[in-house]
Amino acid sequence: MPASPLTPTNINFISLDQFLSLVFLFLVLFFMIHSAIVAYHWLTYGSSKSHAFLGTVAHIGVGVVILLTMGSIILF
Amino acid sequence: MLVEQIKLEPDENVIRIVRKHWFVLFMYIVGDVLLTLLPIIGYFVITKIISGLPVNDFVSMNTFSEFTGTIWFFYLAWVLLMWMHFTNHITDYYLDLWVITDRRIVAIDQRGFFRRFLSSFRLERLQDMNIEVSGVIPTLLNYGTIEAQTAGGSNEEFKTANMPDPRGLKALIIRQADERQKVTQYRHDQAGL
Repeated sequence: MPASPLTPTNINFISLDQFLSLVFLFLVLFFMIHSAIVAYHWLTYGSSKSHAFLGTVAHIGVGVVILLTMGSIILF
Repeated sequence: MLVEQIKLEPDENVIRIVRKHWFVLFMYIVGDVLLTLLPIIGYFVITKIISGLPVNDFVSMNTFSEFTGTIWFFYLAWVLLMWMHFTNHITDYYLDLWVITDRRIVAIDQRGFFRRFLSSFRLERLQDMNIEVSGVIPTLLNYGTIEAQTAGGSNEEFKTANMPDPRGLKALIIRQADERQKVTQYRHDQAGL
């Protein structure tokens, strides 16, 4: 049986926008899990409740700003 | 919080909580900032190389400008990952500490999120303390390794690097150990009477 040549038309690519959306969703999920772990550690093992709370808020706040900017790049 | 985790004995008082020297945190910050800026430096180097190539008309700055949004998206993804990496460093720094009480020393060694070593020894068991300040920066900023040797079956050693003011810390621990020994000796004598 002759081998069929592999041409770009036989492969289904996803569009760039779909790929960026997948990366974005993966990062959102990864950041949420990471933030939950960070918050648990700081609030459970930290020496000061106020420092742990402020640190957690700063970590989540900066991350959310970065993710919102990434999301706006996909949308617009 | 930490004090509940340690489970202090009745009448036990925390005298000092010691974290590693601030220079350790500073080096983490410098490293993470450099890593965050690395793609920007790479971008400028690549565009500089391309602008000097004879195929300048074919692969030009316009090639990059077509994908500006995508480039920014991936750069922000990199910044987010670096931010999480920095948080990991802060966690290591914040949760790695020695708690000195009037009865014992609790050494907590946090390695990543899922490896945490908590060891303690009673001040009566303290045999010897060694400090080591090695290098120009540790000498100038006064930080180094502190090691406590304890008496007992296991001959355990407690060693932590990059501790601030190791001489002051050693003096504080030895003073507390002496006071503790006086108290235990007094109670022993009282029980003997």
